[in-house]
Amino acid sequence: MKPRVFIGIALIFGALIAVIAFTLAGNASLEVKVDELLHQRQSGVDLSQRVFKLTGTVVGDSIRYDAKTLDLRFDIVQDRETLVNNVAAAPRVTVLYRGAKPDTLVHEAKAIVTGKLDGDGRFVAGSSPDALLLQCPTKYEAAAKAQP
Amino acid sequence: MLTDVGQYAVLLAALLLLYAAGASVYGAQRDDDRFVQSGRIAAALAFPLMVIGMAGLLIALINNDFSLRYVVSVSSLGTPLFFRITALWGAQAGSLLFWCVLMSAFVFVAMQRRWDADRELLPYVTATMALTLAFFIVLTLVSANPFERLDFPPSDGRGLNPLLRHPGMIIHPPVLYAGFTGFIVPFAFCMASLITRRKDDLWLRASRRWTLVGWVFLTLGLILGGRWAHDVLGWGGYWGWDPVENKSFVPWLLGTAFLHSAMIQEKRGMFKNWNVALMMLTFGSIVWATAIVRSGLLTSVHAFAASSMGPIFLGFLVVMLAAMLYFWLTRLDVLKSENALDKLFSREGVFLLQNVVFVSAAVTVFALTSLPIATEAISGQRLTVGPPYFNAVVVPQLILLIALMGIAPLVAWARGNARAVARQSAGALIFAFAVLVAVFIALSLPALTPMTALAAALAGLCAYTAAVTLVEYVRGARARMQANHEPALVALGRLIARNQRRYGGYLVHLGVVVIAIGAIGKGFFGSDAIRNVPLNGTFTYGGYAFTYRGTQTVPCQFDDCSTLQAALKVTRASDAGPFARAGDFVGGLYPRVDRYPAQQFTSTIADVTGTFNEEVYVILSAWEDEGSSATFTVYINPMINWLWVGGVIMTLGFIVAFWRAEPSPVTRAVPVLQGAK
Repeated sequence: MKPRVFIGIALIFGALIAVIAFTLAGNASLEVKVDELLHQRQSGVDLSQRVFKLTGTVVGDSIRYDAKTLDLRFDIVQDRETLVNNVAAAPRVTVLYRGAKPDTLVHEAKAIVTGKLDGDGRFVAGSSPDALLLQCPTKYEAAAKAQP
Repeated sequence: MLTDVGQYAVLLAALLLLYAAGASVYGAQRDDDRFVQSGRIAAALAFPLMVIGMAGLLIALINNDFSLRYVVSVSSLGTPLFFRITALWGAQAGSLLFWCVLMSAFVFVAMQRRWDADRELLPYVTATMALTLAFFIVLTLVSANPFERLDFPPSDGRGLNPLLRHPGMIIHPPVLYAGFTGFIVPFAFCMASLITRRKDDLWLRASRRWTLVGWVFLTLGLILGGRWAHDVLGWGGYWGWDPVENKSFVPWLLGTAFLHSAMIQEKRGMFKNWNVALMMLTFGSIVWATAIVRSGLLTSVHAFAASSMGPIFLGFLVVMLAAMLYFWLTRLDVLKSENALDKLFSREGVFLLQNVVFVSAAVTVFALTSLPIATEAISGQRLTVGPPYFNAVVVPQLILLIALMGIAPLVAWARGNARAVARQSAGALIFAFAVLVAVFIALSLPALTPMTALAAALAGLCAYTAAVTLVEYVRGARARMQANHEPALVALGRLIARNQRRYGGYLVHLGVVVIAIGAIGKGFFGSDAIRNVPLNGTFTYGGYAFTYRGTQTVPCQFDDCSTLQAALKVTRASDAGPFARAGDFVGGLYPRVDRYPAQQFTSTIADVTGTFNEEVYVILSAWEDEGSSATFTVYINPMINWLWVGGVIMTLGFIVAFWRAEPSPVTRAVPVLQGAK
């Protein structure tokens, strides 16, 4: 193979790697759990532009839904153990979402929310179809489900 | 009892395979054919044994033998017979067993073939296949044994996951598995050729048809998976760059690249090194893909639950990669190209470029999918990228491939002539430009945005590639008509029959273009909205008016669920555009929600109406006070049906390429410069 061809191939791959390297940081979301998110927020770093993929466990009696405006809000805590043992004192994050209330949004469900923190420390979910994913509290295999 | 027989049969299969690998290699080293033949027979025997194992599990499923943990997890007293059978691949353990059965079937058929011409490869083909298959069987028995017994059997099981009770999900996994496991044959031939230091392309020609089989199953598996997701997951789409989707796409990209570059080696003796590397990468990516889904390494909507398989898989991957790398590096001397690439603007050059793009697309998808694992290993924090980023980075590469598809057929071997290409594609270019202008005008009438310009340009590109491809058929048929005085249809039929691979391949290209049109339509012009509406109220969206007629409980199709169904009347709205009259009836929609109380699971099933070119897809998202008001999510999916049609065309192309109208191409001399202009 001629050097020319090699250089051509190297250029194509180089360009691709450069594009990804420069754009990745702004487009990637960081997977965190509730405690980690709160910790980062307290550290004082500006998180308003950072996209997170936040995992937590739903507190059933915090769920509020307005069918007319499709405004949904609920609190999540670190994990199921926290919810069972010490829900009153546990640190929690309020999630705001616009859309139909998923059937699977129940007490103890595991929520995976993609979105950003707003100025008041509430977590605003994005609008893509997989911005709010819920897993049933049962240990049912492959029970995760996209909503809406 | 029969179940226990099954378990021992599977164990025996694994032992026989280990023997097969050892005996084959020993026989080859000692030049003793008796050992090679006994290895061959032992490897082939794994298949009937695996079938006995599968039958053992099937009998347990059909009889609802709840002393088996697996049966409890996928079946119940109320599960109909049909789904008790398909539950075989309804969860981790059973589907892994099923995967092994399919792989052993490929091994069995490969062992039955006539080995006269390529005896030298046999022992190492046997050894490669036997070791790979043995790994998967041992993995099944060790970390996901479907025959595991419970100490205290429950009286009823949990039933099959409701998501899997769909025709798409019943066919999709076996088809996809057949695609994955089918690649074991070309992979084994590739390794055998490397180990025996062969310089020729015997391994390519001997395994070509197998590669095609693996490829078409992989293609169909991907398309059926998209269709299932569209019908069952209630999100209006078909592809979401989910890890589980990506992991099937990576081997497809690599395997497709291989199918193309293999042609260059057969015709010009070039790209030998590259072909070996591609085949190893393809099979490596298949093992990686299986590891991702099976081990729960990545969070996904449809991955299996987390399991202990990760380390075992990782170990196997490392050993496999090390073996591949060793044999590759120690045999670089026999992989020298017979011809040099003189000119980049030649058929070989375009193929090379196309290969580079396929591989770069595969590497991109692989890297972005593995990002959470990689970043966690480095920094302890998991980073993920979403579908928009995948679209921005991967889709341009796929567009480039469509452009190359339109250029490659026109470029001559060895030395291309730019002027000749321009002359031959003049008609296609004019046609493409006309399509571009027409689409642009049609789209910019309602609104002119950068998106409409881009969409029109892409439509023009698709039109160009489709036109070039169709002209290839016309030109070939016309040449035959003139030379042999054949009627048009006879000439076309004979043209295809004499060059099946070429014209079958072009048909696949047409299918890809049709799929691209569907993806452009849905990607650029698809839209969705969520609307809350009172009983007998109407809302309009996307040129349609939806009138809500209420909800009612209807009988569910399974006895462990209850169904709530909403009724909507869809008519044309006043803003429906110049070709529709306001108030025209479009259809009735009955989106429904199936609740499975035992499994605490709800399945949202959409209903669709509209036309072939524009699907109206509606789901019932929520309802209040016995249905006095309800919330619907409406998706307008333009051109989405083109995706499924494109899949059918691709399959037809495969059949044309695969069908043996002529004697086996292996025994026939292949002209060196076939297709040269």
